[in-house]
Amino acid sequence: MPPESTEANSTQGPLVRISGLSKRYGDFAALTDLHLEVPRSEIFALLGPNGAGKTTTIRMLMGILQPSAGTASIGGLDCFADRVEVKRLVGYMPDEPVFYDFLRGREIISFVGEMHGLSPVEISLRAGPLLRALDLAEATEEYAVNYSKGMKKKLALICALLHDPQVLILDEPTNGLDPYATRTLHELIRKEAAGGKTVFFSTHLLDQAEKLCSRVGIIYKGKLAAVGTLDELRSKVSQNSSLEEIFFSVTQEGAGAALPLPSREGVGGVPSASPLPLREGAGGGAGPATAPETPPP
Amino acid sequence: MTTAPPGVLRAVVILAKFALRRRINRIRGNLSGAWRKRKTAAAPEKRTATPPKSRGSFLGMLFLGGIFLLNGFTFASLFLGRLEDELEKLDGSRKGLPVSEYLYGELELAAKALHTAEAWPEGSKERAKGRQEWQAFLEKAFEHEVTIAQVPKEERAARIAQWRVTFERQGPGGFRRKHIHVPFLSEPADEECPALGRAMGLTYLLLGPALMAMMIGQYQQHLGTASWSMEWLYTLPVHARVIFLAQIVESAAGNFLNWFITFPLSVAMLRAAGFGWWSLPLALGLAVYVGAVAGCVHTIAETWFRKSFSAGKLKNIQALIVVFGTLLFFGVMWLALGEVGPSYLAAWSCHLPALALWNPLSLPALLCAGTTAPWLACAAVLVAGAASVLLSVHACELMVAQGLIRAAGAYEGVRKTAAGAARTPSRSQPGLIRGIAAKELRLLLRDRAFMVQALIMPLLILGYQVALNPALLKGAAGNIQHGATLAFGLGAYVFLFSAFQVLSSEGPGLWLLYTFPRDLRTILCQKTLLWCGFALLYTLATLGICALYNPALDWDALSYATTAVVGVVLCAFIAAALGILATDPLEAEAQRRVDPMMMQLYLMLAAMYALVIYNPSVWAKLVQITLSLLLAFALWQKVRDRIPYMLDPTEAPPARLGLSDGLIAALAFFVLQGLMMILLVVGKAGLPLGASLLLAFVTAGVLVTVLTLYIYWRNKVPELWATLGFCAPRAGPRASFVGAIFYGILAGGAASLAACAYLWVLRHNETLRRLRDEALKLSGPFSSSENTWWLGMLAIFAAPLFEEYIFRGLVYRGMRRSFSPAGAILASAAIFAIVHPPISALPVFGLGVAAALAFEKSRLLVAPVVAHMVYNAVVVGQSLLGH
Repeated sequence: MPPESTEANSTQGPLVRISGLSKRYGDFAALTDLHLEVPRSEIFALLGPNGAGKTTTIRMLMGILQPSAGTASIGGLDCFADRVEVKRLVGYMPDEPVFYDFLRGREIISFVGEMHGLSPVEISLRAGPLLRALDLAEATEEYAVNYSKGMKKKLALICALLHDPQVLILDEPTNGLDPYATRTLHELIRKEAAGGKTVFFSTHLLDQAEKLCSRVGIIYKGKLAAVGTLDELRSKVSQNSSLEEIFFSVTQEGAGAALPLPSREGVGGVPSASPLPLREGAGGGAGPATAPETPPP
Repeated sequence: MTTAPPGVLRAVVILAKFALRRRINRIRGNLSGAWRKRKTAAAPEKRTATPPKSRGSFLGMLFLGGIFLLNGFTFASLFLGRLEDELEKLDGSRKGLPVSEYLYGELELAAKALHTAEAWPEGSKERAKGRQEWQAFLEKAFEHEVTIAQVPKEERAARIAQWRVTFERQGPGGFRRKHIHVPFLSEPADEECPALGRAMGLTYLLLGPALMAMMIGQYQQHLGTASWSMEWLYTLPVHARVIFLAQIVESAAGNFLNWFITFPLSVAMLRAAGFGWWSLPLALGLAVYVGAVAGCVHTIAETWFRKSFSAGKLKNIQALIVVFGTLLFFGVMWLALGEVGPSYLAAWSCHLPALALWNPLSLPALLCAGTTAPWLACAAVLVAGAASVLLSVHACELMVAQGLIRAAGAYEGVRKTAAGAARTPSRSQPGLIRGIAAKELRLLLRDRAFMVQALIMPLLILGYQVALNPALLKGAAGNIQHGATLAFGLGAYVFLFSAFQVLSSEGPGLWLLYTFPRDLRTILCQKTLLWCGFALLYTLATLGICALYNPALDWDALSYATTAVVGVVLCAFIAAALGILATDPLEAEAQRRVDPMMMQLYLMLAAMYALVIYNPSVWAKLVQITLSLLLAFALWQKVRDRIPYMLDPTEAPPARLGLSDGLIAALAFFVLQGLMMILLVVGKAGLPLGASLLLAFVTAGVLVTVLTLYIYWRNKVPELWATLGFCAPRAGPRASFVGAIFYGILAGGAASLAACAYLWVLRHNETLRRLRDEALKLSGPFSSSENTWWLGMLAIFAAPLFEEYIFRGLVYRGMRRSFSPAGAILASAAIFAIVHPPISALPVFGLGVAAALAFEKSRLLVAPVVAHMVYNAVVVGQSLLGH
């Protein structure tokens, strides 16, 4: 992708914008005050342990859940209020895809394509290369419920890519895949990002995230603990640390304080409010601690 | 330290114990109501889908079990009674009058006592006294016998006389026991055995496969699921045969149909054969035997199926077995309890040779066949049971001797060889039907279980009703009203398993629908349309068949048919909306996804609609159709509110008054009134007509009011009393109590003026006056003077209270939520008007508008109540006093 067009794209503003996003279930806060922005053609990874709030964030991006506070928007459209329009721009792959009984793989692809408004010709034109790339071409006559786990995820990925969306939202994309499938998936993600798509995925496999993504957000107990490129994060902890070490240091018990980041124009990464005193020299660049409370609609 | 794996017996006990624990947890979970609250609790640690153990569910289980057992005993004794009567009719060769075991015993006792009395010398006091006592004793016994034998009242005296005479002439020898008496440890009876044993043998022969088929269908729930518990158990350090033995034990112990049907049947059979108190333990043993045989067949079948068929085929096979089992089960029930069934059973059993009883399914009947000694029969049962268990365990072991190979596991795909070219995917036919409709149709055609449940079950149930009562078809064919109702009922019933499950049938695949750029509501609406089409096929076919038999088609028939067809369409949408509102998509287990209370509500609404087909007035039909249409709209409104929160475990749209609640209340009010009137009139309560009307009105009103208030209170509707108008709202315009009354009088006065004007116009216009006179003729019986007082009470006190609560409190407030005040006033007044007779629709509309205005201004329910009272007092008093 020539750098000029990247510049041009980034001046249009980030594609995925999350500001002040919170979700409460009764007394329990699943997500508190999340601020994230993902510009075009970027591969962004949301890391976190189980129960940190990754799936909640993704569900709010897909309009499945209504945020208790804050907004999430994709391409300028609010994810909850305009969710039908947002779905045109977004391709989603869940963690454990479950398909209907008694439908073949190719029938599920036809179904998804038709529901997105594609004609049968378009569907076969788009699905063909995808099926070949993911090595599913011989399996399309089988019932989807009989696929192995890796094949189900591949089918879900094809369903997500079928309508050529601008944003890909993947929930734990390589969880449970064998090395061949993982490599194929990574190549596909890189190719799509190079072709102009934005990829937002959540994972807890740190080594894969390290290889694949350009920026990383670490989320812990519902709060954003750190965000930035790998180098930025390394500069805060220690020069040669792997993502794994960064992750553990950031998400230790009691270390809820966020790593402060150099402020960048128009890009978030605001440390969340924490009861513990911030580290030395961190106070300056911090932005407002909490976003203004948005009353629920 | 190495631990030794458990021995065979212990392993079987452990495996069976845990399998049964699983079953009991499932039942108790379904019965326990507290799990619903747990699921939506605040913190995720406390949020659990595991139902808690509660004493309530344990008691519930015992209670349900007791009820089913009682049912079983009732049916079994009914069946045995009928069978005996039939056999008696066929078997006239035996001598002596048939009497029950009890009377026979009393007769023998009396004979012995009389014999001792004879020992006294002739004419002595003791002899006379003895004879007198025992005569009295015999009379009492005869009286008791005619009562328990349910001899018709007219014949009782004759029967007793006959018995008395026979006893005096022949003593006990002139009688015989109705049943054959086969004491447990004795040799076969010397009497010619009636065919009771053979009839029972035939019953067992038919019941066995039915039980087995239903067991495969129900308990194994999803034979087609990819996981098979055998695979996991195989990894434990026990032999395969132990696992199979445990499965047989678990099937036998957990087969509830067996306990609730075979056990009571055996008890009844053994008691009829005269085993007395031995019946209970013997019947228990027989039930265990039948359960064991069914369990053996089930285990062998399951192992063989899983070995030979793929998952998809398994589901279809299971569906077919369920259909077969249900048909067989219905057949057995028809044979046992139908009108003519037991006579057929008795006739066939007489042709059966006694040797035919020696098949493994009918062995239990040997005990009372009388051809073999009972102890020999018991031994045969034991041997057969043990042999079948051993044989099946061995057979299953043989089947898995090569390892636990399954027919088709998860498809892993084929790795592309280096030089291989990919096959081009076959062109999918671009059909006429696309999108969600195509998917549903494909699933329907391939998933036989789904097809059976949605499309074939209604036909099966209809067939069963027809089998029990053949007059049903004749009645439907002869009378177009009945035919239309049947057509409507069939269509509405189809929706219970199809349109009602529109959301829950998506199951865990719902995520796919959320990725489409389409509103979920539209998608579900399209699915509903598809099912509407299917049900209409049934309805139109039934109507067509009725039309064939009934070529005289007049306007009445057309109106009935149209009502039925329109009703089916409306029911589709009502069912779908209620189903969506009742479904919890986050629930993993399909059985618990839908709230069964909503199913009952849907059936109730459908039944209320069906009643209107019998109403001769076209106006009433129109009213019902309009109300149902509005209800469908209101419910889909609620669905639209709910859909954004569908997958959110804790958020839900706040419980509020909705238009649908008001409409359901109005519908229920009118139907309940009608029902109460029917009860009071048919039950001959002896009240004057006006009083019955008042009582029906008041009762219906009270019921509806109490129920709606209770439901709202339980759902914690915020500011309930203020919204309904019972007390002043906290904010906004309000009036004091006196002010409200003032508003009410004002509104009532205005409406009465308008009504008087209307009545004046009626009186002075020729055509309208004729219409009015006709309408008044219909209310002829109400014009008598004694009814005036009751009607006055109704009009001035009862009617305003309840009607205003329903129409202003519920309907108007529900509409206010989504419409402007003007729109809500007009619409609620229109609904109010159409539920009144057409001649008074216009002034009633005026009253509706006035009352709603008064309510809006004062926010207290007192205002419209007063308005209505004033109006009724003026108008009704005027027309009543004017006669």
